Amino acid sequence: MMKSWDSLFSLKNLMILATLLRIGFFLFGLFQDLTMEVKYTDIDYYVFTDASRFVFNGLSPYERETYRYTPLLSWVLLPTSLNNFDNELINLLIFSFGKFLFILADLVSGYLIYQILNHLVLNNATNNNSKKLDSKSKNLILALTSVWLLNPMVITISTRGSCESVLSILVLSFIYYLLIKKMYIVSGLLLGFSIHFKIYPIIYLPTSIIYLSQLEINNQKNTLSFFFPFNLIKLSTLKLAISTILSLFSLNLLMYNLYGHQFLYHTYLYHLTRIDHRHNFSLYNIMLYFESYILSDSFKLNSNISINPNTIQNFLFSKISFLPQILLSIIIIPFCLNYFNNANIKLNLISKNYLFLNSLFLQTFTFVTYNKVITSQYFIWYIIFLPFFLLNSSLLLKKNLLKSLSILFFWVTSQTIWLYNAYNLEFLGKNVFYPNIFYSSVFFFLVNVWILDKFIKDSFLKIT
Amino acid sequence: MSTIKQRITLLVDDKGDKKININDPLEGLVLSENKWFVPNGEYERQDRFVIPSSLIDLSKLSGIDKFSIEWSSFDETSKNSEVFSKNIPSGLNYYLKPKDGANASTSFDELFNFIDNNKNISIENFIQTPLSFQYHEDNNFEVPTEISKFISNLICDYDNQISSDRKKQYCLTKLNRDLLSISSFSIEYNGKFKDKNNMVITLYWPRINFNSMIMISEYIDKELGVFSIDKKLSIKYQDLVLLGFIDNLKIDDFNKNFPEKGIKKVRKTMVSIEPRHKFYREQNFESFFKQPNGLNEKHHVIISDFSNEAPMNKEIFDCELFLYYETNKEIFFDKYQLVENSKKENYKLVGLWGESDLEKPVYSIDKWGSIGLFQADINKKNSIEIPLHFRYLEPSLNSSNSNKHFMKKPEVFWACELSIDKLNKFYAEQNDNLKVSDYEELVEKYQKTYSKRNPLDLKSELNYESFFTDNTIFFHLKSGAVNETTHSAETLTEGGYLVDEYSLPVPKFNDISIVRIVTSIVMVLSFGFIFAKLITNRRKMLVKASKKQN
Repeated sequence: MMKSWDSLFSLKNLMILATLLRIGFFLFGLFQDLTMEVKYTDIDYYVFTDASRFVFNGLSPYERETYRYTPLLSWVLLPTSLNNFDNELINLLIFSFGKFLFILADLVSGYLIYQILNHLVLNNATNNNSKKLDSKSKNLILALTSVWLLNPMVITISTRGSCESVLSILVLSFIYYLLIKKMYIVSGLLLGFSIHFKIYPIIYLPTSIIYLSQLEINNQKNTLSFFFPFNLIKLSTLKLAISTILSLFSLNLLMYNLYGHQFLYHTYLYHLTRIDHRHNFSLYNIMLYFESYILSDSFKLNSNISINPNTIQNFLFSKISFLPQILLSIIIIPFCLNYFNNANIKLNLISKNYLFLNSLFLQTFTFVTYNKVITSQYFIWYIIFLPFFLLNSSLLLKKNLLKSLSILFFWVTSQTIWLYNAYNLEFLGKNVFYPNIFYSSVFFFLVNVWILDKFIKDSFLKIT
Repeated sequence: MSTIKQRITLLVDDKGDKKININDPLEGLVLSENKWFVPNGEYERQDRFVIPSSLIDLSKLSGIDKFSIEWSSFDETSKNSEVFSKNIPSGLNYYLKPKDGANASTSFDELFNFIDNNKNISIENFIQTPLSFQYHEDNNFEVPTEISKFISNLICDYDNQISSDRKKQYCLTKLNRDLLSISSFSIEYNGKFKDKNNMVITLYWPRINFNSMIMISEYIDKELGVFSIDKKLSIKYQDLVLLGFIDNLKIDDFNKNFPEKGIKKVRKTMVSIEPRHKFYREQNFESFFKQPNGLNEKHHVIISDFSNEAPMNKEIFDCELFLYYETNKEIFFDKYQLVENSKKENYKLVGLWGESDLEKPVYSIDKWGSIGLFQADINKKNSIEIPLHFRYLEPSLNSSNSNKHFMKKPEVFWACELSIDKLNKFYAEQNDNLKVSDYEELVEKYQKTYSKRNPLDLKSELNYESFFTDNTIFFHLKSGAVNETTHSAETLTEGGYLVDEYSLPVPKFNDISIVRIVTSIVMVLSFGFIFAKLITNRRKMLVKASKKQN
């Protein structure tokens, strides 16, 4: 019985199951779009396809209001503009081209996760003088790959037409070429491309530089040859940094030449200056709603004598909210998990690889937790690292089952509470901004901080 | 010397004062001693003032091609007129068309200086349609005082150029009193007519107790018309037939023709008009938001008797049903959603103008709102559901603020256009029975009718009428409960006003203190907590690893 289960539990079968699930979700989405009031397709998918239609007609994708992405995305989705056949079904399928692409990207991401996991486990096995993976390890890799491939949240997001999976491929490829292929220039080019696609992967650059600098320290056997930050300058780090900058700047330059300030504003500057007032998971949301009002001319005109607009404008959260996010995710976590120059220990490559991947996971988790805006799509940003984190995690041990389940329970419950309040606001128009939405965001944030604590502890636990 | 022309038109109907003889509205009307004595009673009234260019300081309007200021009450009675059917959309509207090459902001300054209006709005608050820059206000349930002041000053100044202050004061008092009860007005300026009449002011009262005489003025050429609708003749000729008299008299004519200042007998006349705006009594519409409403809603418009034919002969006219929205800035239409939806819904977006940023809250928007024009098809379904969205509002500074809000009901109308193609086809089909002369007469009749238009009504060159051709007749549907199962229109209007109610959630601004305190504490403590955990766990790991390596 076990044997037949083992033979069934293969990458091929997992990919088939993952594909079938995605097809099922996609078809259900079509049904929901056609028959139900609330649409399955993400509003962003209409934004992407509208932008593509503008490009198709020789215009800028930024002609489409709220298109805040690289023009590349609208180019890739150009086929969706060809949906003017007489047959409605054909039109629907052509319009869904982007979804197929995102589903494919989702599956390829799953495959890359599998490859990276395989490499990590194989390295570990080699270290233990075993050159072949046993079935337990194989199953573990497949089970962890399933965390991505069979994850209903991941499937829903790509089948609704969200482009996160395209970014997932880029980020995973960057890791693949960095850790497995050791092709730092290619890795840097991919990281630059990722940052061009969305800004946030820039947080991986310092981590990668520290990680590579640590690899060379072991080779040189001279840990204190230079002082920080000069000890980060190595050939490998230069290759990675320069290729990242080169790829990022060349793509940005190309897009700037084509679309000018529109590109710069909508793809980058908007994200730096935006104050998201509409409800979302973020701790800062209600605060930012108030502050966006305080910053408006309307506030100056309407405020009565009990509120002095100048006093209240002296301190604004919107101006400093990025500080804990940047400090933790770009500086503190990468250094705590990857920088060991002054420590009197030698870590092996496997530990460094684990720490590097755990660092990416913790950075992303922290970045999202402290972000000014959080929507469900953002969870994908750290879910791609979850299989690597779980590989060496004590949370999978039987003795920690309760702890693991409580993490999952509180993460889901805090979201559910928030979503219930958001439903009351969005669909029933109930005035639940305060206390309901506010405290459910606080609760969700605190749950994430609590989970982060567990993850931090777990990240260091098995490192030797 | 050019003078202002004023035409006063009074209409008697069976709903009015019984003291007036509807069959003979001229009974008791006499002209004597420079005055018209009009029988006391309730009339529907329209006053039109035409201001010649020589009386306007055109240098003050050098950057303006056209402008128009229109206001109409939200009261349903303002939409009842069959004769004076200008049908101005409810609320206050400014339309401004700068001259070619002129700066919109400069033109705006010129307009507001000219009307001496220091209202706190700017050109940034206007939206641009293909016809003009437009500004609209929904909250003017009463006559805007700044505009009525402009009108009365303009007219009374000219009326009494060399008259005494007492006379001017009398004019102002009288006009201001009358203006308080008007239901709509329009001020239209056209800079293109250099030698003609540049400005026309039209005032409308659905019912006014007219108990005064009309003085013949030295500086205003006055024309008086008193009419009643002849229903029998109207049915017979399929036009609106008015019986009564219309006469104008200048002071010179008066002295010349009536030196003895005697009583002038008035002569009965018949006027046949083809109103551009009509009421389509076969159908009405009901509009509402389902309660409770969310932030993404549908505006429901239900048309009664959808099986009915369009108002005019389909063989000659192209008739389409339209919905015209002027929504405040709390509401926005997503044009992409509307275009996408129109593929499967029974409406089509014809035009959408206004604030296009779908993400901004109300307090970050300068523009007053949006205009949406939809074409609806009610052949299969009599309800139209237009999706719209609500922006986030300003946090409430006052804890007792109501979260009830109102959206102006859309104008729902059939626009019927004379189709020459259809006419030709009709002629071809009827070839055996219809002589060429008949056909030509038919074409001539319609073209003449439309070019002549209703003398009591000027087509606006700037408002929604101008989205349609000159050959278009508008058949307006009135708002009212469609049937018992749907929402009653009355419950959804504010005191009979033509508005639909919705509610929007707003946080109380006073909560900012607690939100700030909790957010800061949580942010700082969580940062410290995570930082501490990272450092302690790293230290533990290093100690453990060091021990192991040693």
